Amino acid sequence: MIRLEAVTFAYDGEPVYEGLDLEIPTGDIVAFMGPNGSGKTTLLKLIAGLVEPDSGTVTVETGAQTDESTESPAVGLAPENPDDGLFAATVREEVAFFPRNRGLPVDEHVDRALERLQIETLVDRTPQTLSQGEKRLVSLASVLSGDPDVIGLDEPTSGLDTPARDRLGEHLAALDRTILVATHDTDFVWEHAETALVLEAGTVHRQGPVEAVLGDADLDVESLGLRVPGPVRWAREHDFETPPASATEAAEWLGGGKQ
Amino acid sequence: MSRGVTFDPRAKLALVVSVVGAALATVSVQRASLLFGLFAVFVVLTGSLPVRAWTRSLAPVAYLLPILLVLNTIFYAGGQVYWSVPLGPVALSVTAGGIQTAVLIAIRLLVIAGAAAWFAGTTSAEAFELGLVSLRVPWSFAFLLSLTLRLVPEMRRRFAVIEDAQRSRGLDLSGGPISRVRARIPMLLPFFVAVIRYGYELSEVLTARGFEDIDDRTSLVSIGHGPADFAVYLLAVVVLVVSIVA
Repeated sequence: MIRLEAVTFAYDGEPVYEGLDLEIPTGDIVAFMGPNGSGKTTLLKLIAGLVEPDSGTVTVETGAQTDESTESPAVGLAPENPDDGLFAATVREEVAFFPRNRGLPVDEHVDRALERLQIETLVDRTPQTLSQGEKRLVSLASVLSGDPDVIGLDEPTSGLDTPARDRLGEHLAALDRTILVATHDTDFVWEHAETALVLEAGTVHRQGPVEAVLGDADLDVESLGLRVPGPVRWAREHDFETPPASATEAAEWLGGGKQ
Repeated sequence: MSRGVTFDPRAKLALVVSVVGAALATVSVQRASLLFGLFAVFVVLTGSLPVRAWTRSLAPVAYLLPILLVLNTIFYAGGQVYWSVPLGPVALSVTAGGIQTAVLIAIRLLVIAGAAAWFAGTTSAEAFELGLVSLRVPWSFAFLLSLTLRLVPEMRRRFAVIEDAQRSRGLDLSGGPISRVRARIPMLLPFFVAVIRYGYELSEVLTARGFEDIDDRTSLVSIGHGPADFAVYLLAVVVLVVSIVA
């Protein structure tokens, strides 16, 4: 469980959170959503220990390991722009950075991370010369290789075309970690996340299973700077109560399989 | 951007130029220290920039000062020799003159950085640009200078983002000054890439918006002198005259 208790945080006197209480289940893909300035990235940074709350506590408990310090992070964070983290001459060196800092067996962790994201062929390439999608995967591998219990991703679908976005979702789903995703991309959340957490002006507006939150007709998603996910929009346009699970199911419904 | 007393950018520029001129003109450690002290008092009294923000903007200079002090102490020689080690045909020495010169250069740097930080922290890029144009600086050149002013906070923000990206992968920034500097090496490449990309993107955006065809321009902001500005001009003249005469 990731637990924030009475967390207050301000940037240069501008309050972001005032007495925030929050519990985030571990083991899932959890999406942080909300309009610009609602505190999504700050929440990631607080959990990763990159910024300290002005008051209150942030506790990360994942399985047997509890980590409340930044010195040996149990939380790895991939930045919104992968270029902000990529510095090494080769992908191998880039991915080796985190396990080396944590004192883990470097080669073993690098090979495993590259294999899990299926980017072994990039191992000798220079990170800066890769495509945006490849950089995103290398950035993710460079976090995964440090074996963190929690992986934070800031706007991971930004700048990705649809196939790359889908591949990223599949890769994330295959990881047995808690993954926190700060994003505006509700379609990506609908397809790949289990839990949704909607932030607004430093407070938790909604929290729960993705289908319950984003499929709730009472939630004015657009007023929160978000788009209604495609399947939900489709279901509402065609007067179905629940969104279809797939395009095939939608076709069947239209064919008369469901009223 | 500014709180407390606000000044016209031209008046601020005059004061900064005179303080920098005075810092370069003085050859006395005591006078350079006095100049820094008086300028700090001015910053506090006018309240145009929070003191914490001013001192924080001087923090990067703290990395340079020890290097300057050591190098200048060794490479400037004069007066009583405290310590010396022969290195082939030359000798590295710590002398009274060397120490005095090193301290003087360090304080000069503090004065210049302090004045520049105050100016940058209290002046919007638009006001700076307009101030230069009113001083008959060609607009394109004034605009380029104002861009450098905009670049400072942007680059600071970029560096913070890059630092976070590396810290979240276990980068340890604790320890002594040397280990902290070494730990920051992985940040340099992303930082330079970000700076270069920023330059290219800005260049493209300006070209796409007809930067080369600019003639006379109007501005959304306006500047004008008030009573406080004339006091600042007077202060600038006094600082300059005292530094020359004394």
